[in-house]
Formats: sequence, C-alpha cells, structure tokens
Amino acid sequence: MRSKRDRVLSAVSTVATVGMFGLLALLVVGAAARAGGVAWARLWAAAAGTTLLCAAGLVLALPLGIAAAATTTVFGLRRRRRHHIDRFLSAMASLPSIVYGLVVAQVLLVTGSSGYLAAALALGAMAAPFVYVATREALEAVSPRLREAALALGADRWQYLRQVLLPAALPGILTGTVLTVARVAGETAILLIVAFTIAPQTGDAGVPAALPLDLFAFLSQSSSWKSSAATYLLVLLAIVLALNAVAIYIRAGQRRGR
Amino acid sequence: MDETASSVARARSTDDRPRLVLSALTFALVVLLGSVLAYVGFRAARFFVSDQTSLSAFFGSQTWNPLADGGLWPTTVGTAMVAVLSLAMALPLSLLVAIYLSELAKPTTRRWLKPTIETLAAIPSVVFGFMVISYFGPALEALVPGAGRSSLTAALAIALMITPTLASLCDDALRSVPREVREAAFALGADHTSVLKRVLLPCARPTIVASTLLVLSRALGETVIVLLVARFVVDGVSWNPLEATPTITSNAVAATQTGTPHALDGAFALMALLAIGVWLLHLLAYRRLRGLRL
Repeated sequence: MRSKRDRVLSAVSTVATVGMFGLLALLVVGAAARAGGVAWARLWAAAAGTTLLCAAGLVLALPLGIAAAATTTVFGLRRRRRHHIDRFLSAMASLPSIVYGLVVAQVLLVTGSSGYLAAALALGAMAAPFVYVATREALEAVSPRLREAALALGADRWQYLRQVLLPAALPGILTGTVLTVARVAGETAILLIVAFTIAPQTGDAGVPAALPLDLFAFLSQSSSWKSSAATYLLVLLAIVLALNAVAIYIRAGQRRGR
Repeated sequence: MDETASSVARARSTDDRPRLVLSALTFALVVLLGSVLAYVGFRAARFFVSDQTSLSAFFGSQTWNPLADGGLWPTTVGTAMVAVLSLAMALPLSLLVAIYLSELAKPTTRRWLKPTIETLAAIPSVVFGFMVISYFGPALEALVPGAGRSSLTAALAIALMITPTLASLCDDALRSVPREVREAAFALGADHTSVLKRVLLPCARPTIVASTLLVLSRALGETVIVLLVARFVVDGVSWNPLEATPTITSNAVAATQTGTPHALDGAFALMALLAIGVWLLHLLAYRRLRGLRL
C-alpha cells in the first residue's frame, strides 16, 4: 500500500525524467525541421578540420595522460609526490577550457604560428587531464591480486604494466579516450579565442576550419543562417552521439567479459 | 640467498628505462600544464603592476569596459549569478531524475536509461546555446521584452547542459548508500518519501554536495553559451537576471577581439581569479569526499 505522497513523488520524478528527455528530443526534431541546404564544401572542410584537430590533440594528450596515470599508479614515486601530481592533474581537469585557448593564442599565435597547430596544442593540453583521470580510474579498477600474482611470477613492474595491467584496463582507457574525443570535437571556446586572435592579423584565411566554429558563426549571424546552423548542429550531434555509442558498446563488452 | 638478491637487482635494472621514460612524460605534462597556469599568473601580475592600470577603477568601478579598468564587479557578479541561477534550476531537476533512476526505474529501464543520460552529458555546450536561442529566447522575449538574451536564458541553457552530469552523479550517490540502511528504514515501516527524506538523502548528502561543487565549476567556466545568449551587454553591474551580463569568460573573448595587450592583461587577471575560485571548489569537494571515505 503506497502512501499518497509516495505516489506524488514518483509522479513528479517520472515527469522530470521524461521532461528532460522531451526537451532534448524537441531540440533534435526542431533542428531537423529547420535544417536546410548548406555549402557542402564548407561543411566537408569543417568536418575534416574537426577530425584533424581531434587527432592532433589526441597525439599529444594520450601518451602524456596515460604515462602520468601509469607513473602515479604503478611506479613507486614517493607517496607525497604522487599525491601532489594526482591532485594537480585532477584539478586541471576542471579548469575552464578557455584558459588553454587564451594562453596558447597569446604565446603561439602572436609569434605567427599556424592556427591549426595552436588549436591542436590547446585542445591536447585540455584533453590530457581528462585522459589522465579516466586512465587512472581504469587502472585502479583492476584487481590488486593480479599485481601480486604477476610480481610473484617474477615480472618486473614494466612487464606487469605492459602485459597485465594495460590489457586488463584497456576497455576502461578506451572508453575514457572516446569520451574525451567527444569533448574535444565539441569544444568551441578554445577555437573561438584562436579564431578571434588570428582574424585581425591575417584575415579569415588562417582560421582553422571546424564544425563548432562554423556553428557559432552561423548562430551569431542573422536569422537567414539558421537553417545552415541546424544542419551543422545535427552533424555535430551525430558525431558526438556516435562516439558515445562506441564508448557504451566498449563498456558493455567489458561487463560481459567479466 | 644470493640468487634472490641478484634477481631482485636484475628486476630493478630491467624496469629502470621504462620507468624513466614514463616519469619524463609525466614531468613533461606537469610542466606543460604548470606553465599554462604560470602564464596566466604572469599576465595577471603584469596587469596589476602596469602604469596604465588604475587599481581603484578596477576594484571600485561599476561600469564594464574591457578596454578600461572597470571589470571586476560586473563580470564577477555576472559569472556568479549565471552559475548560481543555473544550479538553482539544475539541482532540483537532477535530484528528481536521480530519484527516478535509483529508486523507481525497473532494472531493465535503468540498464538503458543510465548510459543514455551519460551520453547526454557529452553534448557540447554550443548545442544548448542553439537550443536556447532558437526556442526559449524568443518565448521569453515575448513575455518580457529584452529578456530573450539575458542571464536567465543563459543560466537555463547551462542548467540543461549540466543536468545529465549532475543527475548521474546524484544517482551514484544515492545508490552508494548501504543496502542495510535502506532496508532497516523500510522495515521500521517508513514510506518511500520519508526513507528518501530522512535516510537516503542525508546519507548521500556529502557526495551530492561534492558533485554539485564539481559541476558548479563547469557552470562558472562556461563561455560559449554566455557569449551567444547574453552577449549584448549592459555596461554596469546587473543584479537583474532578465538583463544581459558580461562574465569573466565572455569578457576574455571581448578582450581578445579588441586585441589590446592591456585589455588582455585585465582579462587574464580576472581569469586568474576564476581559476583560483574553481581550484577552491575542487579542494572543497575533495575534502568532503575524503571525509566521507574515512
């Protein structure tokens, strides 16, 4: 027998959950209804630019983030130093992304470096703490018994890391990486700062092409651009959601494997 | 005896080189990120010692102008107001979603609902900016002229952006309450509402507060939504949520557009303030979480 207020509570929280999804479904349906023709060459260039920036950012973030996580979890840094590094890197994960954009724009672009290089460096620096946090969580989730077993069999820490720990933690690391790629692909503030720093110097030619940047440009212009904005939004959303689907698939596979 | 000692020595020497490489990479990462912070500090310091800076104007002025020294109050008030408004909207909604997810949903529903909510958490902020500009802004504008592009609409977009993250974290918090505690409460004859109110929510509160603090730092650092939605700026401190407002982040974009080094130094000074604020939130959140574990 449920009390009256229990029924109210369950009704309200069900409505809230359905409402949240309803709003987001409204967004997608509304955007699909508005979506119109775009300059396909520009859309293609922007998608290619986003892919390039994500790849370049990952080339920087992946080795650094994974190495830092491996160092703090496996290799015997002194406890205090390990703790400080861990604290510092997880705090950097919540730093507003625009800070990376501002610093890189001021340091690199002023000396005339390419917009792509600057954007990729800023995105990579932003992504590295995310990769670190995800990798550390994945490494810590591996059972400590595996470590004891490996060391008892005479493995050194490097062999343990490469042959036991990393394979066991790989699904978790991959999931974190895919989610980081989604964040990098949608990151707009860094690209805006880069674009606004380059444009007065060299004109629009040096500005990197990227989906979020074009989307922002359409949104801040007059309403005639709204149909292009809707198309871009659907493309960006599709990429991010597809990446997340991959992450969920990997995680589900991991659960099944256990 | 000797044999063990020598094999230990051999093990040490074989993993020396990888250890050095990994430590060097870690060191490189810490230096890279540390120099980002150091550069922000350097530009902020340059702002405060510059002859062009009038400290009394920076700390006292009520007007916002990225080219001059007014800036502290309009942008910090704007930043705080947008963040607090968005949390005020997001937290109740997230708690309700978390209650549905952890208490009411069937296991089969939960199995797809939880990953879906986590997927929503990855939608980029520019998408929510689009949503608010296209739908809520015009609706609000029709109700209150001028409110279409205001702190309130920006806060609404940010609330939508952070709700999935916060809901998922609150759900984790509710589910981490030990099962015996929950069952004991039910066994005493409490209904679901009082179990939630008296037992589950108080038990989960430290984690919920810590999650809220972490999510708050995302709301404080949000740039694109504020820029899109609340860009057309009043020139003073605005406590009215139905007006547009500058924030620390949108001020930095404005300073980048003006391009003068002094304006940028000022933007870096404000950014340093924001970074310190976010770092304090982080510290507070982790202290709470650690207190929970002990």
